[in-house]
Amino acid sequence: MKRKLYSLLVSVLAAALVFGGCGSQAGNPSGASDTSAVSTAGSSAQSKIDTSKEAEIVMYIIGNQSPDFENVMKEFNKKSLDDLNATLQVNYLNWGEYKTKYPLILSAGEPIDLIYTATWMNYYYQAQKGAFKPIEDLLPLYCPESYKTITEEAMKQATVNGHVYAVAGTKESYNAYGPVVRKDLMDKYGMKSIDTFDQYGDFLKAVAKNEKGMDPTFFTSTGSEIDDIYMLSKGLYPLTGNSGSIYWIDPKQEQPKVFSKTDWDGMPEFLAKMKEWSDAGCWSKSALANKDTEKMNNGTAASRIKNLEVWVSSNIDTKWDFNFYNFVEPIEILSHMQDAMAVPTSSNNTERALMLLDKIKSDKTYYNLLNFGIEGVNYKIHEDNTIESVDSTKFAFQNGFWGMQMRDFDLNKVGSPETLPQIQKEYHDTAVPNKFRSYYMDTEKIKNEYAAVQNVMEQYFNPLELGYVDPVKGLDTTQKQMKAAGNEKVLAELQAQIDKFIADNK
Amino acid sequence: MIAPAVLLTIILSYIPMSGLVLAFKNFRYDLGVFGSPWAGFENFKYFFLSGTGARVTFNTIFYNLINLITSQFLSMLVAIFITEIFGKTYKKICQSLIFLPYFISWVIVGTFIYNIFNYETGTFNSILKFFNMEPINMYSIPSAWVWIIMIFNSWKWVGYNSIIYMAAITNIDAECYEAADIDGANIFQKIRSITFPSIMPTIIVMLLLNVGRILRGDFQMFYQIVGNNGQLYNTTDVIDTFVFRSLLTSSDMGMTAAVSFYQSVLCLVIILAVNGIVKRVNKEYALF
Amino acid sequence: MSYSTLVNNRIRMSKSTIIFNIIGYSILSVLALLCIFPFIMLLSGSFTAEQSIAQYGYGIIPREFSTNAYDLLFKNPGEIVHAYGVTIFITAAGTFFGLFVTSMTAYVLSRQDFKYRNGFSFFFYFTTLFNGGTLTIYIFFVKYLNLKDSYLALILPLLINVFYLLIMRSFMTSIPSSIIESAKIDGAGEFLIYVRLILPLSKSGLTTIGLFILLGYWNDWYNAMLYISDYKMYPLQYMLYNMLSATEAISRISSSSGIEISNMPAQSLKMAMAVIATGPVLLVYPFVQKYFVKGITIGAVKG
Repeated sequence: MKRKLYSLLVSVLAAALVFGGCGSQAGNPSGASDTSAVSTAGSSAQSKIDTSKEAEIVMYIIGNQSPDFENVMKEFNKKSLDDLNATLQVNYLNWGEYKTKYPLILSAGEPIDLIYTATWMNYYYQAQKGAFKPIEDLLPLYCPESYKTITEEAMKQATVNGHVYAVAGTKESYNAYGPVVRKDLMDKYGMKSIDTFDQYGDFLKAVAKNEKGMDPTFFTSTGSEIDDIYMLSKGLYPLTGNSGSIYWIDPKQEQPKVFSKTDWDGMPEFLAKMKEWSDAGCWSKSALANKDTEKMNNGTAASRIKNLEVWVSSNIDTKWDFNFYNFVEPIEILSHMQDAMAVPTSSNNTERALMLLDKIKSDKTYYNLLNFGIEGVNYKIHEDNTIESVDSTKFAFQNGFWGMQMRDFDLNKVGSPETLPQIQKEYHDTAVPNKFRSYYMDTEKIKNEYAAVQNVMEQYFNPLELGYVDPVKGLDTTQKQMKAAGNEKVLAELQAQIDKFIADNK
Repeated sequence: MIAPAVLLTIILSYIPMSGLVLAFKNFRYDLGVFGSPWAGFENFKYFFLSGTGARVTFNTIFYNLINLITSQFLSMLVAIFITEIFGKTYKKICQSLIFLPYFISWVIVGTFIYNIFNYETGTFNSILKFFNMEPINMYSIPSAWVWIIMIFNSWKWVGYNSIIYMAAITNIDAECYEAADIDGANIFQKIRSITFPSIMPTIIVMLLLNVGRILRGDFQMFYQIVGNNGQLYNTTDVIDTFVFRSLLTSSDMGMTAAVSFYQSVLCLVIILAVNGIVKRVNKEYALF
Repeated sequence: MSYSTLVNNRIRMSKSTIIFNIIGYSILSVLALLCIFPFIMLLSGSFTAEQSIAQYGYGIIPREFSTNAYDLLFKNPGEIVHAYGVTIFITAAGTFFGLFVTSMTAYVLSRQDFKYRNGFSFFFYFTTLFNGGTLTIYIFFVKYLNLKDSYLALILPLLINVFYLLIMRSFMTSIPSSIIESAKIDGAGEFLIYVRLILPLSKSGLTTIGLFILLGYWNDWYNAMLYISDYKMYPLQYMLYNMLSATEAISRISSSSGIEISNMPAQSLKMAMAVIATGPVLLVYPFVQKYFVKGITIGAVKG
């Protein structure tokens, strides 16, 4: 037994050494290749880019692979082999696994050349933590065509600590936000239009009173966006750039002051209104336990607060017609970092990967293959420039390729509301820039407080904004809890960041 | 003969255990687990801010204790009844049926619970309305969920755990019972003086094993039953759900590792203490 | 003659036995009802039209019968059959080796004359308290053991469950050491004693732990999620889990990315998946049950 124990101990030690040793080394090579990539890029700028060696580009995106995807990739790789002497290997991170696996594959050192990133995938956090390569010098060299299409604003939004770590497509989405409402019910209750928050309330109350078994509007367990829409309609700007933000500013002020939702002047009035709506039955008393996100589409809810995209898809997917009313003024283009592509630190073929990315974004044949499949087999284009899927179960459109959507190549789907192109044009033409969209919240220094504050908001504010508790007392409790969680420290830090941001962007 | 298990444990558990350092690191992707800079106890802070850490720790221990007592007691009861009552077919059918909930995942249990208790269309309120009673909004009564969680937990695990006790009872030498029959003992006496002492080692092991994870909440159970329902957190928030929620947007690996480390250390302390006490009482019953 | 038949043959049934049986029958019946009821809801839910679930919730009988969920699941029947194959293979291999290693180790740990028994017990137990975390384990498995897209990655992590090991040990401590002593005197080696004597004596324990290990492998999707990216290697549970999260995620994410939503029967699909995944294991259960007949006498093995 003793001998066994001894040999055991030796093997433990040996194994631990091997593992520990490799682990600590693992960081260095990637760090080194980082600088070499930049320098080789500089030198190859003069000469012609060398593509004599065949390269396999590994790309990770999010989604479930379509059955026909392999066939499409065969077509794709035939072309890319001819043009760039490279093939593309697309790996899907499935919907069930992406949250867990995304950080894991970035840390395991497996060579990956392109990966999807976005604000909702924590782009800024990961970029700061060294997950991606800086590509600001590489883009003009290897992505010459698509580089021309990138606006200055988009570049700014991708910048983290002076470096650009990701590149977005040119398809724009807008900050337009508001109720998506069943048309037949509006007609039934004689509503011509819903232009104000209170008109929406009237609609909800009418439905609550007369439509048994139907929720006027619904929320899911992730919380409601009704507070966001209210604050957005007052011209305020959320510091995360998206709904669900705890901290806001008024961008109209010269030196905007950061405040938390709970401390906002308009909050008591809003909460009183919500209490009234809630008591009138405008949403379920168990709304926060609801997990059904399809309530409007399956007919158990009459409206929903969302955006243009939901309005379009609800119109296409259901038998009802829906109206959409935007409550947000002015129209702005949302951060391009909503969807983008980055080069992970572990990439071996950065140059070729970027060249291929450029091809996809500038050559319509490449673009259509990935996004829509093979013409005639997977999709048909109609005369009015709308696109129809032949069998969406065989090949789903734009499946995971959101990081490289191009505005010029984009097509509306068959069945989209007739007014859609007009609305899109209107939004595009009237959209105003908002410099704060390139500000990103850096919570590194306040990560403890920020985590605690988030938790407080979910525990106290979510039930409060749905009018489940007394608005005055509830707000008081929430504010106290926020304070205990370190709200003031967070505010001070964010204020400093905003002040610096304004100074830098003078 | 023990070597394969030891080797496997070293390879699969002890070597990766070096990852525990993550709790004290400011993790960077480009530097890896071991190369990332040290962070001291920075990663632990958020857990204890504003007293939430203490509350969720208490909740976790509380739920584990009541779940331990109720579900183990019920399992034992079921095992004894199934082995002792008459009617072979009936016993077998019952046993199979009681095992069914094990297969119903918490996701589905959560859906059913929402269907029972949601205010407007839930079964529970429909029944109340049928008897002309005022509907009750369960989702605003935190204390009710202690019971709901306890009941569903027992319900789900009773079939599974009772198998362990049945195996233990099956192991008892039949000669003991025969001797007791000859002495004229009735069934309650036999259970008390033969069955109980004989399955005592199993009971103790089950207790100890469960005490050793007393700080780990069953995330799926709490998350699927309670969801993101802020109103219920005071009574239903456990360590695992709290951490999940706090790090939802940042998913900081160091911070996740930190709380896991905290759970591990506390578990270790508790199990060492409890095991020590058991060892004093009866050396044979101790876990190690 | 086994114990229960002995009792049944008794002519006079004592009053206490009758009371005991009445209590037992009533408790078990209530419990069984509580357990079967949700399962019937599940079954009926899987055959209910999505619209009807959204409107009226679940019931004992489908309000509006539909096989939509199953149609969707069996769109590519080959896929499901294949996934079943993978799961059965993993489960069979894992259960066999797991049970072998667990019982052998438990036997050693149960021997009173093994000096380091407590030390080794702690060595194993410690791993249930501390673990390196998903990230480190993932890197170790993928980078150093090279187990990505390997069935071994599905088998190894569940091979030794320390809880089962210690439960097994407690079962084995009830085997009288005198039996082992006498076998030793007869000149039997340690391994022979384990195979010839201990295993037959621990049938109920082996069945219990075997069942648990089997269920563990059968229900596991987490390891497949981490280590398997080739969808041809997906075990059943992961395939189902994946389909479900796709239907849920698509509707959740669509708002921010504008992907097309297809109206999938998400709710009934959830139920149908549970039915499909549970069915085969339920068939195993009766085979397991026959090892729980009370009154296996040690004397029988001894003789």
